[in-house]
Amino acid sequence: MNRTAAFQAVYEELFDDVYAYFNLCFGVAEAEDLAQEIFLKVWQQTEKEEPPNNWRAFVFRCAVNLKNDVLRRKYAKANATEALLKQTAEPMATDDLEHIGVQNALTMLPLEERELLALKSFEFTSDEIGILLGITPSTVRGRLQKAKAHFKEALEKEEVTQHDR
Amino acid sequence: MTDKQLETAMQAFKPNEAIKKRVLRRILPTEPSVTVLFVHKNSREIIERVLKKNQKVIENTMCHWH
Repeated sequence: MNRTAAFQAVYEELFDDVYAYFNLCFGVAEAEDLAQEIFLKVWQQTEKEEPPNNWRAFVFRCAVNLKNDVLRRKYAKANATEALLKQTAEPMATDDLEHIGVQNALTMLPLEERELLALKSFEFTSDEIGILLGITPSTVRGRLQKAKAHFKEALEKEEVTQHDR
Repeated sequence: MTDKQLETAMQAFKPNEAIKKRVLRRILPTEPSVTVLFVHKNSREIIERVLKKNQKVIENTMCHWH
């Protein structure tokens, strides 16, 4: 397989998830550039004699590191933790009321919980998420449980709001 | 129930085909191309500041306007 074909295989498999991850963390305005940065790294890796064995793990390790860098830059620049935590994700437009409710519920969660739920939905195990985020698997499970509970609460609120409309 | 809803919600945060193609186009190397710009001689520095890694100013020809 030549370099371009190898790269395109990884791109096809993982671009959607990486973009969704950054969209959930920082919104659509930054998701494209950040996802591009990750896949530039992938492109550089395909040049090496020994590219990573596990592209998924490599790509998401880079994505989590980049997210942390962006957060650090934002904290340093604005020193506005509150504003940052309230930063919202931006889903694609849809007319489906039920989907809008589910998306709204997700965007209401704090960044840390959105990130966890995103990684979980990309079918990473608790052990893998733990490695990516530098926390123990049991902490991942505990935080995921809380995130899911908050997501459920947000969903219920959304359903009530939509019912009232 | 929430797992399924979460999966559905996540779909909305994924890129559309246009975004996917645009980013791919930006990453994959393309045939070399040349863009000719007629600018003031002092603009070279400004242009160089916004060039990407694989771009460079290859000539700085002086033009005289009549």
